[in-house]
Amino acid sequence: MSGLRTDVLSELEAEAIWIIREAVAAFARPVLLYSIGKDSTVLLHLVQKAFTPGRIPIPVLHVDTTFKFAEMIRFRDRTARRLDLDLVVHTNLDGLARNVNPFENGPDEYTRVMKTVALRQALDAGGYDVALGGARRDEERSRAKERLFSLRGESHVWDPSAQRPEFFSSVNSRLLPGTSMRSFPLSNWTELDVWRYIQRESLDVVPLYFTADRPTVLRQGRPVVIDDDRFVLAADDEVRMRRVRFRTLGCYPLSAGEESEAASVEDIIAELEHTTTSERSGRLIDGAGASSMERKKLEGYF
Amino acid sequence: MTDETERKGHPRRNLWRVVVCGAVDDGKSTLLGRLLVETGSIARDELAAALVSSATSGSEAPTGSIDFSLLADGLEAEREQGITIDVAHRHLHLPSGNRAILADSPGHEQYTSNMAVAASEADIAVLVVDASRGIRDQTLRHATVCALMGVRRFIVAVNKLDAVASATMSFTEVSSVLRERFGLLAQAAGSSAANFTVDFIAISGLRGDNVSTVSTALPEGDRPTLVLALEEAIAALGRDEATATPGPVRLPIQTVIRDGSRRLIAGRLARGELSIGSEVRVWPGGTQATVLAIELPDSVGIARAGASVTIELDREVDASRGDIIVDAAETDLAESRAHLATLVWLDATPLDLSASYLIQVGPLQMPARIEAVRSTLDLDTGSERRGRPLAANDIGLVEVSCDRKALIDPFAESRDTGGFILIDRLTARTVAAGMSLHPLRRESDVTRHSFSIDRGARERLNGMRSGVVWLTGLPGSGKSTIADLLERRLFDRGVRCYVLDGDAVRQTLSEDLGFSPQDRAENVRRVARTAQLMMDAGLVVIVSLVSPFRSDRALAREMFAGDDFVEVFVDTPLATCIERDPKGLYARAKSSAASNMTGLGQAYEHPLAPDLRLDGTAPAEESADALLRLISARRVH
Repeated sequence: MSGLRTDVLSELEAEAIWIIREAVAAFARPVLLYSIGKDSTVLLHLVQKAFTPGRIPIPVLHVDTTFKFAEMIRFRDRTARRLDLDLVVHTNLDGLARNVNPFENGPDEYTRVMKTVALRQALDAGGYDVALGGARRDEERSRAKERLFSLRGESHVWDPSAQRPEFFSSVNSRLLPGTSMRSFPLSNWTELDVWRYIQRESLDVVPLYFTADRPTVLRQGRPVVIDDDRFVLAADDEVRMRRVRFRTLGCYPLSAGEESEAASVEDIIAELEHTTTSERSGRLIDGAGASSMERKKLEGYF
Repeated sequence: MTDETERKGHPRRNLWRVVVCGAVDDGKSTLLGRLLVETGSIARDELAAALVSSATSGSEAPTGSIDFSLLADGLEAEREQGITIDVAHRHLHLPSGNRAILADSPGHEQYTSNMAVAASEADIAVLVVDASRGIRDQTLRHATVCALMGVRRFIVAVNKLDAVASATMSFTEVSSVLRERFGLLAQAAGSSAANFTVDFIAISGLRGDNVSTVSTALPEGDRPTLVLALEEAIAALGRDEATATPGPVRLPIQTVIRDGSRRLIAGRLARGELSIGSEVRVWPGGTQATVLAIELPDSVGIARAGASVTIELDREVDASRGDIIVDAAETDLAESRAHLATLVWLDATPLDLSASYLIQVGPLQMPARIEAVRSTLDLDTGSERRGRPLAANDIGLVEVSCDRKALIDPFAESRDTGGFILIDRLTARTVAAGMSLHPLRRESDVTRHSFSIDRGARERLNGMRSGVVWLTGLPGSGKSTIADLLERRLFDRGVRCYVLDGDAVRQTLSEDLGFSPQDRAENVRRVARTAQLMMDAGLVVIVSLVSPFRSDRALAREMFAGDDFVEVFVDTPLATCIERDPKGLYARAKSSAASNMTGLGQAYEHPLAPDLRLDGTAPAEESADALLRLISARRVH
């Protein structure tokens, strides 16, 4: 991957801004799905850039599963204040009342209720017809099949065998009642592009991406950080401080960190230039089957 | 070069798009998987996942080995069925540092629209051909779709030559057959044909021969390996881009940004260059303005094609989504309500000529109809057939009629401002992708000066009515003989007349045209317009033209008011015409297997309701007299 030209970033930026402007200008009720991670950070920055010197013209939605890292929530609120965001936070209150959690209900059911169902509730409540997200095609095999604008049917389901064709720069924004659109401005970015862009634009990211000594236990052989006292330890769990960082962020009990010495954006870029594992290898919920992401998307997951 | 200087004005292309296509089961996904692995473009855990899946998926690859196709087929249904349904996008990192996005596209005819999506953004096409099966319909269809969608650099990867015993076509055979087809496609691509290149390489996706490492087991192709062919194609694209002129400014407006009292125009610069001080106007309005500031991509004051820009003009102008910023000085814009375009029909429901669709060209959307299908492409032969309604996966030449003037550039000049989609208003589906050829200038677009001497005045001066007599029939049917006799009779009666003869027109007015259905249509149009001018000048015009197709004759007829035009069918059996063959055309066509000869390679569609049918086997004098009686009765003169 050496010899990569930095100018790829300008090209990706131009494309992303074009997609963002189409989503915002051609649809009636756009919303930005904000997950606080590095991709969302880049996306939010691009939305800001697309409409500068005006303000960010769309609401920003965060689906809070209540099991996010505390640092993520602090970062979210700081960002919202800094940019004067119209931030909408949604939690599946029904799931919360039933105390649905990853320890007792298992990752799959917890994710379905607190992420997938919660997202559907939030999108329906807001009447949003297009949701912009930071998903990238290089993240996962079924993501590689996504369009820039991805049509979702009733109940937000994705029908991968009947995607709307996309040509040139003409985006068909027409929607039948009950259907909606997802839009992915970062479709053609790689993980490394995201970090190089963060470097180029001097963007702030959640400190969890940088290595630090953190209290961990091992799950599936990988370090999981104990972020608060809700973490349910097994009898043979040995809590140890490890120097770990995260490549992806999500719900803390389901996100595996990795041992690393990368303490800055430069370090991360250097590390990624030589890595041989994919980004999602740190997501414990994805291990269930080769098609688990696809199955979640069929149910309406982002 | 530093980061900053590279960013100025914004992006030079560095991320290229490659479509990998070809018929189903020809080994696209396997080749693509192999390419990703051998270039180190894939992570180790992904590779491991492909290993596990291989053991459980019923794939043909031996358990424990890597089934390279599983890396590309991202959907469960695809892995189960062992086919590709939709396009998968993967990042390819080439040894030189060049980057490309590979689009693995489906081979089934059923999923042609998905393949077309991948082709529509591709800079390079890798066309995979399975030598053991030979060249198939889908192979040709994909080559055609890619060329239509603006791909100019092709790499043909001839796969499975290692199955020598069962190979139905050798590398040389595949190359020579496809080279001929690509020659036609390059011709059709017109002005941009200079950049049309095709490299042939023999590969084995399964064994990895000539993918990134050279194998001596296979015949030598145009490049040693697929990787080197891709590197060369990318280098050539870079050179093309470096030498290309910026072209006229096209900034389709996506949205207008408000900041206090400032109004800024936002969009992606599709063509040309903009800098502070550029004189522009907002199409379709006429108001001119000067670029006062450029907020995006950088404040360096210049923006190049491809950049998403935000600009401020020096005065308040009416501008909204769908309008286009153009050079103030540009006059001859491709603006018209009607445009001639190539259409790839995508939807299961066929084209409905009476339906109102929505056309969308970038952010510009408006109601539109397809007025006529001039011809459809025959994928087997690469030639054009007469128009018929377009169904799924059909490719046709059509006339698009928009609700109001649309600015649509020739597609060969710009994909973004020359390409469009059609949307079905009821189902909201994208039913077709279109590539504009040129605007059709209709009367409504031009305001004519009204001259004081008109046709009526000239008719009064001449003391006769003008009009058009249109003789249609097979070559050798006797049209010219009858026209000649009729002209003599009219002339003797003092009627000012003129014969527009097909052969003479072919040597003059239409010397640039051939005999494809498309060219014939254009020839008919020119002759009809010329006849119209002559009629306006006060003459009786006798047209003697094969004009074999009903739709062309109908279009000609529509240019005239009822009485002004008389359609005459010179009905002579083909056998008689061949026997007469006064110019030796039939004899030549038969010996050279030329396929455009009316009556042999092309059909003659006889008129269903001509104003007069003449028996071409009767003496020509009788026919001329009958014709004279008719036009006298209809007071054409």
